Amino acid sequence: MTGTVGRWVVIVDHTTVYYVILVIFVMALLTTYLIRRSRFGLALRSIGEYEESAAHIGINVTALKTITFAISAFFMGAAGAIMATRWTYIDPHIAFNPLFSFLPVLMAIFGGTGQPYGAVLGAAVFAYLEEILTTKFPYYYMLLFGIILIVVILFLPNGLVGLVQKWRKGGLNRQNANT
Amino acid sequence: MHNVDFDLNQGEVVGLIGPNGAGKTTLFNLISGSLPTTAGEIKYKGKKITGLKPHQICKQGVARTFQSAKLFAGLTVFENALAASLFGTKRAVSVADAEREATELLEFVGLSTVGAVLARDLPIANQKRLEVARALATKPELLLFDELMAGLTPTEVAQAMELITKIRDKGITIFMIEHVMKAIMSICDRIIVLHFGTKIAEGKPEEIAANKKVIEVYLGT
Repeated sequence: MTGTVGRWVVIVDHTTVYYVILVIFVMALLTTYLIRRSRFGLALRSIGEYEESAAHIGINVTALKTITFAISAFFMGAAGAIMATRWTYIDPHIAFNPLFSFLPVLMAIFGGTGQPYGAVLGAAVFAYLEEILTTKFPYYYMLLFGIILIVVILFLPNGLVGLVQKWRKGGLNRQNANT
Repeated sequence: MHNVDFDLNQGEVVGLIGPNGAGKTTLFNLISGSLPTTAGEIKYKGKKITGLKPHQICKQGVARTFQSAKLFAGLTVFENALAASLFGTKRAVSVADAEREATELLEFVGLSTVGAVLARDLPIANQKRLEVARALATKPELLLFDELMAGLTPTEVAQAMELITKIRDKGITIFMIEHVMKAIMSICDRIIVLHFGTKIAEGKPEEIAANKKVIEVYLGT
């Protein structure tokens, strides 16, 4: 222990890691669903729409933001704890690597915020893209990834979900035009 | 703002007028807690409320509307009112009670038919109505209206005046900033005039209309 900042972690087999992550994932989705339906969810949506007004109708904005941050940190922390067993060694530089902190946020923006399935869709497509790009274009992977992100954020402010909704709406409009 | 000193009595309708930049909205921001006071004291029902956060002041029973409607644009009309009745009161409210309250208030301001519409899709006059409903949902005893009638047509102004009278009849004290002179002169029991952050006059509407200083800085121009 002396003189080191990091820690060796006991290795856990892949199946266990998989199931633990799956449980965390389901818990996170369930929490999202419950929050959305609760009064807490309504307060959060109000803050998201207009923070100043939210405060003036009696919502304690600071407290709710702190609680929300803590809830999201819980899931990040849980995922990090199980992932650490795959890396076998961790230290603060790895744990607080900004890339890992921003990645989930990027995934959510990529998928589309405002809808719970946006983050899920974003994460799935994001992870798949990352794998394809690293294997197919190992040298240009970061560059290509960056370009895709910029394009998505510039042209799809509502993320992939926004794209899906646009298609759906377009489909409906066409139907209406025919009838 | 300096040396602005006044009282509001329960059940009164008091108007706040003054030229642009006189500090009317600033005064509202100080009362409702959006801006911190550097000196002086604001008391509400004998209790000091300076230094409290906006959400605390709201729970004390002071509600406000904004000059340009600041609605929760992506929420429905009903959800806007519901959020206020759920969180605006000191005592915890059950969802069922809050829903009933929100429904009643939407009816009161005349928005019961558009409850499911997104707030952003409302025309101006109805956005203002929703602001009023949302403020009322927090069960205030003092309501601050910041230029409720700005941007309304004459017919809508008449409707707004009617609404204010109905609110006064509920026993709620009203403090309103307004530029529509006809409205302020006919509704208000008392008028306070601000100029460059100081109070230059206070009195009954007819006294204000006859006040030389007021005419000079405001009415005359």
